[in-house]
Amino acid sequence: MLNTLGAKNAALIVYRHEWWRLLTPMLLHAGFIHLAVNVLIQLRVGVMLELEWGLKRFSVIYFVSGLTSSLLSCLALPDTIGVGYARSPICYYSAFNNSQPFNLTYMGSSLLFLLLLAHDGCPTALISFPSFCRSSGALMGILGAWFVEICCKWSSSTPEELPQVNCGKIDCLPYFKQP
Amino acid sequence: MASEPSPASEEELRAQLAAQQELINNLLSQQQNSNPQPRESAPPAEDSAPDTITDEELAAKLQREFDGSGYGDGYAGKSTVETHSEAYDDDAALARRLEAGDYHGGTYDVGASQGVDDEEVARQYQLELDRGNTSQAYEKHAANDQDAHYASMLQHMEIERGDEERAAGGGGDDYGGMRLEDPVWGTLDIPEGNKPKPMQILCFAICPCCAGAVCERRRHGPAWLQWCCPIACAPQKAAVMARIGRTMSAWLALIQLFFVGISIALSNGFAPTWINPMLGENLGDLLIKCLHDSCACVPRDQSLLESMSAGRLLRKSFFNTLSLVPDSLTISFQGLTRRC
Repeated sequence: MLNTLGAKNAALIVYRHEWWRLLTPMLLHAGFIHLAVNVLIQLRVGVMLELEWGLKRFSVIYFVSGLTSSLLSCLALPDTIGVGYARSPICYYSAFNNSQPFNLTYMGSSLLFLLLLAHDGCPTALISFPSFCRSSGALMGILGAWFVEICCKWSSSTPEELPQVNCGKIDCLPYFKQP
Repeated sequence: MASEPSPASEEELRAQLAAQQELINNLLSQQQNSNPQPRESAPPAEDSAPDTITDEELAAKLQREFDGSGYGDGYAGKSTVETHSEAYDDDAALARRLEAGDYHGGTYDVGASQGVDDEEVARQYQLELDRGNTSQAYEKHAANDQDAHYASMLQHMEIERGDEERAAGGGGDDYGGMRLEDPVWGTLDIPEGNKPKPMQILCFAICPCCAGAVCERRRHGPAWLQWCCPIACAPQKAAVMARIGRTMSAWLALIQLFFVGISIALSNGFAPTWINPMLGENLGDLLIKCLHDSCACVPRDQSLLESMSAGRLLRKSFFNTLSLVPDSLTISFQGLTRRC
C-alpha cells in the first residue's frame, strides 16, 4: 500500500519517471511509532523553526532536504522502498546550530534527535527503512539552512520576532508542585 | 552630556531610577523634618523668582530630569538634592545650572555644595561598598566631583556587567545558566524562591505544552458543550495552539496522520508486530514489491551497470539486487515467497 501511495521506489523513479516519488515519502510512515517520532519532532522543532524563519525559508529548507534525502537514498539503497524523510534535517540543524548550548529548546531538539537515531536503529530497518536518508538529509538540511541564512543576511532580512506569551505557572500542575 | 541608556539595560535603569526617586523623596522629607528653618526664613517665591526655588519645584525639576534623560542625569539629580536641600540659598544656583545644562562628565557640578561631612560620607560609602551595594553608595555619597566621578565609573561597570550577563544568556530568572523560555510556548513562571527539578526541566525542553496549566474547567460556550466537554484548554495554551495551527508544519503533520490511517485501512489492518513492530501495516512484501518493480522496469537483456550512469554506490546496490534476476527471481522474506 505504501508503494501505491508514493513511497520511494528507485526503479519506478528511474525507469517510469515517477519523479513525484521523491517528495511523497516525506508524508508516509510505516506505522504509528514511526509517525509519532517524526510528528513530535516536526511539531516541536519544525513549528519553532517555521515561526522563527518564516514560511518561505522553512519550506525551502524542508522540501529541499527531503528531496535530497530521497535522491541519496535512491543512490545508496535502490533496492528498498522508503518512507518518512525530512524530519531529521530540521532537528539536527536546530540542535547543533546554536550559540547557546544550554538553551532548553535546543537541548530538547538534541534529545529528540537521539530518539530519532535510536528509532532508526530498531530492527524494522531490516525491512525497508533506508537509514541512509537520515544522514544525507541531515547534511543537506544543514547546508540548505546555512545557504538560506547567508542569503537572508545578504538581503538584510531578519527573522521574525516572535511575540512573547506566558506559558503559565509551573506550580499549576500537580507534578510540578514544590515540596 | 549623559549618554542614552542602551535598550538592553533599560529595565535595570528604570528600576534604579525609581529607587533613586524614592530616595530623593525620603531625603527631602527628612530634610524638612530635621531643619524646617530655611523654609520659614526663605523669602517669598514671587520676590525672588529667578534666584530662589522651593524644594517641591526642585523635586519636580529633578523628576523631569529622571523621566526625560539618561542615568547620569538621574544620578546628578540625586546628588544635588542631597547636597543642596539643606543649604537653601544654593538651590537657586543649582536650579540655574539645571536649566542651563551645566554638566561635567555626565554629572552636575556640585563641587560648591556645602554641609557635607566627609568622614561620615566616607564611612557610609565604605559600608555600602562592603555590602556590595555599590549603586546605593554611589547614589548617597556622591558629594563632590571626585565622588561623583567614582560613582559614575561604578555605575558604568554595573551596567556593562549586566549587559554581559544578558549577552551570555543569563539574567532574569535563570537557573544555572538556563532559562525556562521557549520561542513558541513562551516563558514559564517559577514561584519566588523555587527551583525546577531536573525532570521538570527535561519535560519543558521536550514538550513545553505539558508544563504549567494545561486544562481548566470550561466556563464559556453553550451549555451542551460545557456538559459534554467540561474541560477546556488553558487560555495561554489555547493561544499558542491557535498559532501553531496556522503553520505549515502542523498541517503536514495532519496529512501524515491521514496517510498512515489510509495505508493501514487499505492494508487490511495492522501487521503482526514480528513483521512490523512500528504498529503499522504489513511491510513484509515491500521489499519484494520493489524488486518486482525493478524486474518489470528493466529489460531482461539490458545491463544495469551500463544503463545507470551513477556512482559506485548505485552500481553496487543495483548489481547486488538485479544480478540475481537474469531471467526470473524467487524471493523469500520472512515466510513470504514471490516469483517475478
